[in-house]
Amino acid sequence: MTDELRVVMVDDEAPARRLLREYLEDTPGVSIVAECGNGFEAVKAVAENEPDLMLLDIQMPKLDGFEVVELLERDLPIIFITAHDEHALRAFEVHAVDYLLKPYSAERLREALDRARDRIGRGEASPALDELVSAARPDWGTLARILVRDGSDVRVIPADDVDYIEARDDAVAIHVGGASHLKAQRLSTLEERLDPKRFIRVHRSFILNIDRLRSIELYAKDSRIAILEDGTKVPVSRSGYSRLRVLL
Amino acid sequence: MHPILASRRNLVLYLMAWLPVVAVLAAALVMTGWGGWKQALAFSFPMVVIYAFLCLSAWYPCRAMPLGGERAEIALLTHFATAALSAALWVGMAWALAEGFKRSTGYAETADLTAEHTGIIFIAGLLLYLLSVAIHYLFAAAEASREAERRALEAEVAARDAELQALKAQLNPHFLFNSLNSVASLAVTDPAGARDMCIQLGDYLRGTLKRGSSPQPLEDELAQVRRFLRVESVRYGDRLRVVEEIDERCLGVKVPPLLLQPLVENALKHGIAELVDGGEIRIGARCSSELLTVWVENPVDAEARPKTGTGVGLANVRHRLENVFGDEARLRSGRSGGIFRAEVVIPVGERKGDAEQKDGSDD
Repeated sequence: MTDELRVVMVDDEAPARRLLREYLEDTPGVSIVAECGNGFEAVKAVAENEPDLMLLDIQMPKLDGFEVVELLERDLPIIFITAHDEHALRAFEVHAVDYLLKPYSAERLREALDRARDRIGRGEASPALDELVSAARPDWGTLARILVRDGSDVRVIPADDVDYIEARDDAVAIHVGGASHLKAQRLSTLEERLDPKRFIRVHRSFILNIDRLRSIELYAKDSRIAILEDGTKVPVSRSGYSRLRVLL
Repeated sequence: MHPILASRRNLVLYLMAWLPVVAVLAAALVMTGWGGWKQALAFSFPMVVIYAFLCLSAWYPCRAMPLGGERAEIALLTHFATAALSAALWVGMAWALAEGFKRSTGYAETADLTAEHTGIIFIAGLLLYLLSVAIHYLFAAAEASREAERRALEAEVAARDAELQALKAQLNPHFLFNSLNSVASLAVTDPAGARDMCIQLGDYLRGTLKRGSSPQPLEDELAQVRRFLRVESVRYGDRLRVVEEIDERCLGVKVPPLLLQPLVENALKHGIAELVDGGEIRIGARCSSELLTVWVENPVDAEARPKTGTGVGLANVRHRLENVFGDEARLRSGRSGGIFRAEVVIPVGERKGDAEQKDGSDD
């Protein structure tokens, strides 16, 4: 590899960023395209700079490292950096992602960079990051907010605000008060993380916030339509109807 | 299942223990004129083997009625009754067996059991059964003491484990590793700052190790909290601002160790660390002649994700307060208008400040 490795570095602590920058500037063949102090900046920087590699701290305000990964929507090699997080460490080991433990040496960083370069050179896919993310935080409980990316901006949608969610090919459309936000995620993955007492899979392609439901009308034999408070109609399958009935 | 029946080795040993009984019974029969040795042994052996198994049944009443229970008389009566029943059963078996002997030609003449023989067999059966009861009780007692030993050992292990967890929490690995990383960073850009950080970290660790389990003046707890915050302020830079609203008259009040620090750690972890621009931690104390109130306030991110570990620090403080003060202490926490506030109210015991003031007035 003769090309320069273009990296984005993310850490909310200024001293930690200074140290990483110092190490990176001493490393030949690496250029820092962005230095970010929080997850929002990180998502933005990746969208704008299309880097080759991200060096990512885990514990950060607003968006933590795992949430940044969730929002990337592209296969970007990542070296995680953390001080001490037993859950995350176990997840890293299981999923063979490279990670640095603070404090780390310049040599250790170089090793990680070489490994990343190798992986990029071989065109190898990054390890399954979505699995890592779910393994690293097994006891997070139900999702209280949904993160979506709007260009290079990140939007945080409180789960309470969601009216319904619709599957669209490889993505989901999250409908909030008349607006809709696309997110590259499978409907079933989202369903698993939402509060099952409130968000019901009423149809193969629809999840409904039960608080928004006004009425259910029979549409044809075995098929019904849910009418939401704002008048939106959402199809309800037979099994979806039985799931709804349990909760109503 | 009966422990003797549970393993073949135990069963063999148990039956071997009964062999002398075979000999004694045979001898008794021979001496009372019931045929010769050969006949007596041939008779005793099956009798004793059968009775050996019958005596195992003592295990069940023994287990159901442990000795030293409230109903010892009933237990004793039950055992005597079952002993008599078993002995009677044994006599019945003896009669049946003797009848069999009579019919088989070899022993025909002398196989009749007299009243004397019956008496011997009944008394022997009674005593053997009661012996079995006694042995079963001994066995149960040994088992119970082993169990108690095991439980004591387990409790000790659990206590050690808890101690280790507490130690780990006090050392706060996340804090330590991040601080070391800051030192590594400062070493090049700001060597004097690195040195200061090492000194502060050292002071903090020394304070942690020194902290005992007995109450200490609020002043000392505050000093340790300040050391902690000084180290953290290197990491957080101007994201962390600290404001103190301490009534100086409270400084001498004795407080349980680690009263304030978990609240401050919480404020940092769930407040400042979650805010991109950080914010202000306010630490306050005020006191009356009876009560000390201390509080920690921090701004919170309205849309922060729920985090694991929320409330663990507070729960620990609450638990400790309960241990020390019973229901005389209170921990209240809540969020209003973007500010999280945790407040502890504890009764005031002896106050160092008061004593000093008295000394002063004597002069």
